[in-house]
Amino acid sequence: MSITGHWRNATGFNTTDYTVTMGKPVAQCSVAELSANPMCGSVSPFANVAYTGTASEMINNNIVNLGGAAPFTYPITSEHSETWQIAEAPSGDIRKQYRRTIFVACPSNVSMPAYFLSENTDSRILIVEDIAYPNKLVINYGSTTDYGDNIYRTVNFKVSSVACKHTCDRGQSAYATAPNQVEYTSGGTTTYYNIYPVWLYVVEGEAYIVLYEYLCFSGGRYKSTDTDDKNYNFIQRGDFQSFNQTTPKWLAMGYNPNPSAQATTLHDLFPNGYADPVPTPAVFASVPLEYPTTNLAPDGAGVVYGLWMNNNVTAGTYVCRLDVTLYTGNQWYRANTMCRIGCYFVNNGELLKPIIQDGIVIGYGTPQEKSEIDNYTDLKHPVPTGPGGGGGGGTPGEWDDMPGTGSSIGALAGARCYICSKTDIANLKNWMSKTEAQGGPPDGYDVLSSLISVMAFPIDMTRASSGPSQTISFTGLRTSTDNQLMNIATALLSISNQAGATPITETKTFTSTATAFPSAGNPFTVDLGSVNCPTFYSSDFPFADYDASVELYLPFIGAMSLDTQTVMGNNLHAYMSVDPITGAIYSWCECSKDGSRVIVASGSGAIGVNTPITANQVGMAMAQIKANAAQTAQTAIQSAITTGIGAFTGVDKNMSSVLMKHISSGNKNIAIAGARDYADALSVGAQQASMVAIPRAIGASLNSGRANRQIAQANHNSVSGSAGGSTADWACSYTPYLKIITPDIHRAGDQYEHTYGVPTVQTGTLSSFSGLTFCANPDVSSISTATDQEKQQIFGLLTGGVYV
Amino acid sequence: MSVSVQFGTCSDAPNVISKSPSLGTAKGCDLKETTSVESPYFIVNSGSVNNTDNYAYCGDFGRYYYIVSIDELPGHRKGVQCVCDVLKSFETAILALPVLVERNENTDQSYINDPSVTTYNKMITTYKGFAGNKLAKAADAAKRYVILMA
Repeated sequence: MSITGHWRNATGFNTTDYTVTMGKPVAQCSVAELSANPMCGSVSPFANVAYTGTASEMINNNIVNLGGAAPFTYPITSEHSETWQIAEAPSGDIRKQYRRTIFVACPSNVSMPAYFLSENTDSRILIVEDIAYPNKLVINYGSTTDYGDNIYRTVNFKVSSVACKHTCDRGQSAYATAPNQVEYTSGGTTTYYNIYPVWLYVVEGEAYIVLYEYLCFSGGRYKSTDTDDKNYNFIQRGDFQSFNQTTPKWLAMGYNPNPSAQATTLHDLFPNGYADPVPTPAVFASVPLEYPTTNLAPDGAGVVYGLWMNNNVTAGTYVCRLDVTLYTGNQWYRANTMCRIGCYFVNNGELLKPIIQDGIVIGYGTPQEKSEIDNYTDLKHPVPTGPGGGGGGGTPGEWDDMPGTGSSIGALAGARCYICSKTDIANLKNWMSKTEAQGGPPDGYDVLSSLISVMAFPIDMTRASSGPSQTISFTGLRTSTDNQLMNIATALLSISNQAGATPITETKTFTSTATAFPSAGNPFTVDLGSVNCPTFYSSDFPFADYDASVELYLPFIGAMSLDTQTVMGNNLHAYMSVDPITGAIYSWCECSKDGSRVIVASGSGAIGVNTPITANQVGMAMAQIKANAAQTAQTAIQSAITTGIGAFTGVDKNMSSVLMKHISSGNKNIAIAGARDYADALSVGAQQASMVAIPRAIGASLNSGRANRQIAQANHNSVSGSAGGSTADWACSYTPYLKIITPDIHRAGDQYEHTYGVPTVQTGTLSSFSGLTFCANPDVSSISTATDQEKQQIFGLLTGGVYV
Repeated sequence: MSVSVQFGTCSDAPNVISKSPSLGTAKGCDLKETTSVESPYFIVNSGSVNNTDNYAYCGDFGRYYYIVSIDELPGHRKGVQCVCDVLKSFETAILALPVLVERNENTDQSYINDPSVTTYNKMITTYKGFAGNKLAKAADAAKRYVILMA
């Protein structure tokens, strides 16, 4: 038997065809024979192998393709095993690799096998996935780079389990018959795992992502020590990936934007430098952890099943893929399949189990031990009812116990809140000072009436829940009889005061040049940190600790005394809740004591300071403007009446429209005030007024009102606010601290207890004590054999101290 | 009257109840004509007691004694003045007494104030800052203004 092929020896690749003849032991080959033919004396490398490959296959870098095994179907009902008996060349001579290819016939609704579970004891067996064909398993034996060291080798290879992945379903039944499940088959037994991604609330503090179940294939890169799962899972049950809102770790969930391409293109995610020969899909960009503001998928078609991603994941059609990628700070983790995801809330270091009702997280439960994580709560596809809820101050519930819950903006329904920088404020003021022709607000529109307050804070008010940067917008109304934009309140007043006024026909929103972060305006909580309140004499004179005094300083609140007995020796944790609308703060300090947490101190204060533009000032200014206008109008109208310019023969039904025409040429705010007085004038007998004189009077009032308004507006910018705190307070310490005052004990020395004892005040037989013992008024009458004199001596000795 | 007395030494402090004396064999001795069991005067042969002995036990009296003094008497005899060690003599009964112990060397009721402990006329003040504080003063250019609009 002979085989012809190209062989590669130790000195390089030789393209000469050699004919290998079996039968001569290598030890019998001469040096000349070996030099002429390195394969001298060797047996056929393909003896006892059903498929030996072709010469062309052997030329291909000595990879011997053993061909493809018959596909086995999914789910497999029996183990697939093969035994290869492969002969190799003598050591140091031949480097080659045998390759077997197996295809898995997954059903049509399954995208690819999740992984193969094989058993082999030969480290040189390499199992690889063909990245271009996900359902193809390639088994390599040997190496084209390392020398083999055995002439004969039997290779046992067995495929004992395989899992095919379902694509996730969000109404696309064509992709999955078992939505939100993954199937795992081992030894003919198929197990279905539900997948329950959840929204995750991270109000403040920390939250942990907990993986309850998993079926993750790491491609051999990340190996767990879980013996049940060989080397295929990278995250073990109960592994934590923690992050918090203040310092969010980058955590992203990716999805394949083109599921139909999965058969040939698998978007592996290793954008951080791993040498995977795949491009980095842009849609897998990491996104910051944010509170989800919508439960809609980017295509608006349904609920986003994914978690931990904000709503700016905009690409793609199907957001629901089982392929997820986690990036936790410094490393990407890849998981082809992830099952059962849940969450725990972490509050002051305690793990709080979420309470689920109808698949929705409605609160959190009692603290759990970390080991209890496995008792996961099945979460369906919860759509969160956010902490604090919407308008009206939020819905009372368990969420309200969470730091930062509740909403003050609820009482200000319709109000909008922006977070700005100093530059934003300057830009806004600059825009307000311009005319419409200069790019400012529409003439006649009172910007100040839309501003309720501008509050300054010493801390960065940007929260993770803040929306994207957005231009500040103002809203006005336009009526069909008026071509000018009016403040909403003014327009409504106009309609209500005038018979026959036309309804609102247009609402217009215009913007300033300042950009800001919209925010929900909800109070938020800042973690002020924790400290252990020490004891100083616990080992010798612990009572002295209770002669101490402990003061707590809370930023922007001040110092307050604490109960020494409660706090000493225990952990304290402080928080500050900030109301961004009023600038008020409420701080509190909790103490862990006897397994529970109690609030040991609390206080209110102010951290925000009203800037010159305040609602109060604006309101006062507007009232003054209107009062001035009214006075001017009344004077003018009365003058017109008394001069008897003309007779008024009745209330002209056209008066309103005529008046409105004149109003439209002036400042509407002032005109409305004048119109009110006009109506008053009518009621006191202004029927004699001239239809010409009255509009003139109104015009005069408008001019006067505009002038006053300009003066008032100028004053706004120079008035200091006083409703909030003081900027002087901002110079205080921003870190809470304890001031502990303890007595300084004079140490009597080590023999103190031996020579003087320590307070005991205990009863018992004297023999139950040891060492120096002082007795109080001992009853020695029971010592019957002692004389009275001796009893007195005993009494004196016991009270004076004896050594037992 | 003749009684039997063991003489020896004891190094324990007088206020120790359970003393461990080192006593010799019992010696016969006479009593001074007028004596008491609380403070007897034993008359013994010179060889029965050493001048270094400080402790004795008289089984006839059922008591342990401190040796107060040893007198050299004529006729090679010695007179031993003793006083009763009531703690050792009635050790068992004393240890069985139910008592209220005010102070003790080893039974520590730590949180009872000890008026005997002396403190300096000054206090120790310690400051401890909270760790992990997330409240920080923002930079001037930070977004630290809140605008509320109708």
